[in-house]
Amino acid sequence: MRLTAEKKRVIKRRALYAAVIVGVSLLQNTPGLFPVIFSARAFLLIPAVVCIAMFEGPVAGLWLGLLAGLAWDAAGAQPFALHAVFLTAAGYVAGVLVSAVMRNNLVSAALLGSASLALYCLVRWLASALTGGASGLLASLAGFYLPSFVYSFALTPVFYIFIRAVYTGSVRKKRGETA
Amino acid sequence: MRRLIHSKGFKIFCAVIAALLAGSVASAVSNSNSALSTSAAGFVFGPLQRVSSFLTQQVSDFSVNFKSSATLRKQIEELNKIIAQQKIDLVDYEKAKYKIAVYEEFLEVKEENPDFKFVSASVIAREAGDNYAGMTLNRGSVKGVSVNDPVIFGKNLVGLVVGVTPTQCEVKTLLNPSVSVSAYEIKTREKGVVETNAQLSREGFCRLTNLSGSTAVVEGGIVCTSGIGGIFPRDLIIGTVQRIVPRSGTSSVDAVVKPDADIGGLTDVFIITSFEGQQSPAESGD
Repeated sequence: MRLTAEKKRVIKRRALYAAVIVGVSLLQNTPGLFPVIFSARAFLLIPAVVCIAMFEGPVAGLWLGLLAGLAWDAAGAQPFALHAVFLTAAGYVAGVLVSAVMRNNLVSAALLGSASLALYCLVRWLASALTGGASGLLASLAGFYLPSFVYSFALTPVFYIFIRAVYTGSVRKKRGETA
Repeated sequence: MRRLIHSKGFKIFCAVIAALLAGSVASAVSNSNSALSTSAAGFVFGPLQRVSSFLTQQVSDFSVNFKSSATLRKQIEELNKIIAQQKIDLVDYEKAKYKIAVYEEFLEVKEENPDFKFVSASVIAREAGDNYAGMTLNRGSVKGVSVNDPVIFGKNLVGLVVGVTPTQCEVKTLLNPSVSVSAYEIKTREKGVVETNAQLSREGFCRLTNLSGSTAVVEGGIVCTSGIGGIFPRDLIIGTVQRIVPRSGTSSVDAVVKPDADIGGLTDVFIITSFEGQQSPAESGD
């Protein structure tokens, strides 16, 4: 069975996305590699998965989300596959929304990115409330989760622009070959 | 909506989520505290994480040397080459001295407690979403590490292992509110439980709870593990009492304790894989 030129291009593009996800995971979880600004840490994998899913659709989005989630879980030896479940769902939902309801532009990326980040921060904050009790909850929200949300959200356009460049580059190549 | 639910993508999505959840449930049942998917991913991503951590350390060292070189070059112009060479030697000496001091402390712990079995470990990751200084170490079940093994730095308690894959393990530190340690203050011998909450954790403190209102514990007192419960061995140093605070609604007081180990800045630690009186995770009910 021979692969068509289009399929080869898609495979190459998705392999590049997978490499990006692994790189971003190392950047995010290696101590001292990505700057921590006033205790705020960047959850880089969330905007990365959302932006990739916006261009690649729900199925590729969920597989790449799963890869990102497994990489994140591996960095923490988590008892539950929280990140794998979350990022698989984020990738699938972002892909479905863009293919059915939303336009694929920077505003949509900002909306989907912020919603995913907000949901993640909320889940982690509530989980920390369960283990840490009620005292200091507001301090941890204001001192860690909100700044981390803002920091991660600010990086969403960077991922969107990069993924769009990879995608349009690949599509342009296809048009060139067709012409 | 119906079309979405009947789509191939939705079925794949449901299957993947179901598989992940099944893996998590299986891990909970098997008491490994690490999801099957996470263990599998650890095989692939663990070595990458280690390489990345090593390279970051190397780049960081290079940066320090680079800064030293720039400073020294200025001094060579201003003074002479001999002083510059001496400064470089001094940096190496300080590094070696630090290393020896760390190992001497571990040796002392080993000599004082011949029943301890250690595994040295490096911090390879600090999970971005963890607000309580949790860390991932590069040693797992292959090296004999298991859930509930204490983690120390020198004579100081750092935390305990809560999740293990074959090649790495996750550690919850004293700054995590879900960790509680049976402890006593060495001068007064008053017993209590060291724990923390989100507020104290943010400030880098724990508290020794359940002290009586007329406690003799004062600022500067040293708090050690009591060994009760069989999770932690006796007499590991937890920290130093900073202040005594009343406990709202009761006549008892708490002692705010600052851990002696710099938990947020640790790069190398030791895991105690076995000690006399240690309870297995099954015995301790975890």
